[in-house]
Amino acid sequence: MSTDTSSAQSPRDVRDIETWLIGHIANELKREGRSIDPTEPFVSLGLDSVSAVTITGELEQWLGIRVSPTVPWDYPTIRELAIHLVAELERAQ
Amino acid sequence: MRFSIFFFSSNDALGEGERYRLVLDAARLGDECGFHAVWTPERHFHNFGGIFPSPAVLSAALATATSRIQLRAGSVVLPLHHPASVAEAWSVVDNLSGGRVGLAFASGYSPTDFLLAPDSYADRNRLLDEKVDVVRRLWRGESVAFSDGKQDRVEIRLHPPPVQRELPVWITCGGASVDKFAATGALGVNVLTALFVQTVSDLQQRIAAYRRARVEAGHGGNGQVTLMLHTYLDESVEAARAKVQKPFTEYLRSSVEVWAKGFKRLEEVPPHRREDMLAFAFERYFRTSALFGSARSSIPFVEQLAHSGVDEIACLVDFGLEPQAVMASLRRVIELRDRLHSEP
Repeated sequence: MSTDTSSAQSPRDVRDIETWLIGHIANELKREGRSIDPTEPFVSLGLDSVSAVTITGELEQWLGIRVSPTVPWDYPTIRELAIHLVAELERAQ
Repeated sequence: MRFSIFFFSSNDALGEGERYRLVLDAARLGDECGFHAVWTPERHFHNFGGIFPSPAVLSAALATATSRIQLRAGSVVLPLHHPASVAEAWSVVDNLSGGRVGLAFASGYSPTDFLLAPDSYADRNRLLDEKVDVVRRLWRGESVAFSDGKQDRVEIRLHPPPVQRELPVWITCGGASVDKFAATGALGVNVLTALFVQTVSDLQQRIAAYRRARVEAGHGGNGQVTLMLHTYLDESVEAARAKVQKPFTEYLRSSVEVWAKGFKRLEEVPPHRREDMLAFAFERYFRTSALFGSARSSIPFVEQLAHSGVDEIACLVDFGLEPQAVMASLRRVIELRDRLHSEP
């Protein structure tokens, strides 16, 4: 994994991905980032198919790995999804 | 919990002799096995639901093919019609069936459908309320005044008189608004709804609002909340998934084409993302918003719905499975019902 300190864009750990997800979900749902709990299920956050597909598409671009649009169903909270994505990134190395 | 059969979208691709076979076979099976009702929709001028331009005509056939099952429209698009025509047609069905008719009324959404009543489109929501009242009054035997061919006022009554003294009425509440549930409660009629745009927890709150509004308006009884649910039961969850994944995804694709017109957010999804959206939507239905699985696996979901205030699950069956699979699945719904009722 890159340790390039100049690249604030590249995710290093679960917390980076959580922060990214909270920011993007807050933007999609027009909510304050502070009001989004990373352990609350996506379904109860109100994530619909359009939002989910937008966010998984942006995740793919950011992370450079395939992110299935159905991944929020298998990893139903921001935290679980972030843990899963870190594992996927390590596998992709 | 009551279980019914709901038709929604059968297209007219089948040959002449086959088009109505599933509707007739399912209604007869439902009649024998104790399904509560068979619901048919009203759709116009499109392949999606193309065999259902007239639920009254179809229900007249079902009336003579069955003896116990309730015969319901889900829904009559009332602003398209003169309320006296609707009352007449369904009074015939009520007579033919010995009083088994129930009608859900909807305001309609497709501008094309309104070629039948072009002046009614803009005002369809208000017209729905007015016309529901007129149909109910005619059904009770009241005389109602209309303008005749010379623009004179003329008072008429319904012929033939129906068997049921009061028409069982539902209002179709898509789920986009809480207010619609409360308004339906205030009217004292029943609710027909779905999980297309609402979650079960949304629905629970809306049913509570419906029941509060009933009480506040002084209506007796609890009212009935009927939930249409895409249904396929197999031996196991895995078998159900394997069976429905392809046809249900195709069905979602064709329904998006029908419903998504005018929904800006859906139209903004770029074409290469549409498949992803369908995959996500499939999972949503499969896991949270449909009766897909086995008789055993579905019990917790049905119990959750009962706890949320749902009285009747209307099993939506015509989303692309072959007829034999639909019939086998309906028998498993009976197994599910019997399991529920046999539990302590």
